Amino acid sequence: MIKKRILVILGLICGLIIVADMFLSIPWLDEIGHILLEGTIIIGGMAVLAGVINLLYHNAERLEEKSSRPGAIITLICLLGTFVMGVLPNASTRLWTYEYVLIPLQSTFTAILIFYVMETAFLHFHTKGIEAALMLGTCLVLLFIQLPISASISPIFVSLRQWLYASPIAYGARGILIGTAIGVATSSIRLLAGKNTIAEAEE
Amino acid sequence: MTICPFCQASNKPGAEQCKSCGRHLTTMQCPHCGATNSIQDLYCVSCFSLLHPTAETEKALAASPKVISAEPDQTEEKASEPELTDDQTDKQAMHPAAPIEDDFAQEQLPITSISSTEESSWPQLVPSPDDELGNIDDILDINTRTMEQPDSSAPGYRRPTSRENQLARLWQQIGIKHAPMDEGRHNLSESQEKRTTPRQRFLIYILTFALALLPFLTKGQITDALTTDESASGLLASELAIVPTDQPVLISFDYDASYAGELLPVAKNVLNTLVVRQVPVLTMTTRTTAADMSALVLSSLEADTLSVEWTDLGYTPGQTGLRLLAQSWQAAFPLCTTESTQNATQVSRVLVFSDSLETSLAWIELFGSQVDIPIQMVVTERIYPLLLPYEDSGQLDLLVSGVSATPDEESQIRGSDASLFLLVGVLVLAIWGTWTKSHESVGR
Repeated sequence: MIKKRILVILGLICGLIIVADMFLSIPWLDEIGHILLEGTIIIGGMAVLAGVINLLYHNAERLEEKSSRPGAIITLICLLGTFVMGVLPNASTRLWTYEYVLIPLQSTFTAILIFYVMETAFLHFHTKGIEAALMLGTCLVLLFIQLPISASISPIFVSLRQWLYASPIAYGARGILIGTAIGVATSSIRLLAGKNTIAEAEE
Repeated sequence: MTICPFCQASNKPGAEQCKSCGRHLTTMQCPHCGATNSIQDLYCVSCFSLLHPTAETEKALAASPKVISAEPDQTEEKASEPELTDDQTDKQAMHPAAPIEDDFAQEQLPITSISSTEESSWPQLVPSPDDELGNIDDILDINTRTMEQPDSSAPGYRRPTSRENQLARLWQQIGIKHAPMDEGRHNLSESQEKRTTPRQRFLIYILTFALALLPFLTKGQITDALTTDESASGLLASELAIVPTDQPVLISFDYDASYAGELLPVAKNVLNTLVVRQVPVLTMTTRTTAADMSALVLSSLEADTLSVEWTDLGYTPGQTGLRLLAQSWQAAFPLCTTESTQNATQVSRVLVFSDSLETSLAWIELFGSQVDIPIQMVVTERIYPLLLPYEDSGQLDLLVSGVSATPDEESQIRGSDASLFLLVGVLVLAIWGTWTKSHESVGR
């Protein structure tokens, strides 16, 4: 428990230095903050390396099981292939992979979402309640006013779009941002104060 | 080695059934709806009911003085159950999942049922002050009250607190009969009937696919009333026209390949304009998945890229990288030459292509708040409304969305047609969904 307390105190000190460095312009504080930030990057790099080793180890284990062997082989080939292409001096292979493999694959995954969106839309309307009606109304209005053709039908739609963006959407966005900021601040203070971690250590 | 979660017996890796107790090791059926779940799931994927007794429920059970024997007298239990009315029989027929719940309770927990006879014979015990989950008597009182629908104005009646309701719900989830959430359970079963059937799903997918193909057939003729004069692409072009040519522009490619379709055409157009105007360009990214995006865009430019001063600073890790960038360019890009980073300090503006709200906010809050360089952003339509407050407040110099900023007019028109067809599709599904519900109701 003492070890954990020491770690919490170290974390608290580091966090406070970073926060102070953000607001104060003191040379020695800047220097320490700089070293800590660089340390964060090194730790992040090590975490990625640990993740790669873990992925290799996990999939090597999966190779022993017949049912999960194909997936494990594909994962390992992709991992090692990406690594080899990354260290090759010629960037053209990497660019080719990026343009003709990664972009189509990721775009396909994103495009598949529309099928689920449509199915969800159907289900929402299927339930036929106040929420569904609100969802339907909002969805249709937002879809329609975003169409350029709506402007040619009536200038009212342009004004409506501007009003929606300027008022309800902006207010909602501000509410989300402020709420998130308060939540992050609260969590950060609790973390810096070691409140959660010390309690866990004592348990 | 796989440990059976029920009997703790050791089994071979990959074994599907326990060699000791014979139960499935990989899947289990939800006690409420009968859906198949992974054994590791805590909640049912279908009805979100609790699948395993958690530490809290076990603690509640341990704290309860009314734990009954694991093998109740079935005859007594049957005798204590009231006869079902016709309506209740119909309900039970409609929700065949109900008996499964009882089986689950018998398998998972020492408690199987609480009959009214047993309930009346329980002694009144004083709750322990250390019992964080409260007194079980209170919970069961709620159950009794809920079942009997007592008069709320009667003397001595107390509304159950939210914590008591929560605990009662917990009891219901672990399979105790006569819990106050019985009604809710029936509602859950009814909602399951509102899932799409395979036939409906097939038709929805076919419709969606057809709607996605239509813009290519119509070639934008349906929404040819589109005007581009006041579009975001015009706004972006006018901004690029006044960029000074003696100072470099920093462009950050912070979007994944999945949004390349939306942002790549704009990025190409922007870089092409800057290259034609002989503006020095610096490129970078804060995303590992976008490390090659700048090279990809530059390699596809129509203009002669050899005549332009272009430096790729490379990758800096996310928020930490931007925080370092605000302090020192050399620290953020230690592998770059000193000349490149010195050049970077003369940047006239930062242009960010982003698909992520977090990345955009990091640019504004971690970089923009420390460095006095105007930030302009081209973002996906998805996060555009969320960043509008920052443009209003002046923290962002320019904000445009990728869809409307696409310079290719044909792409814009096709996108416009696609939106129109999406609207039509949603309308069709709305009518169909509503009609199907009405039709089923009439059928019943």
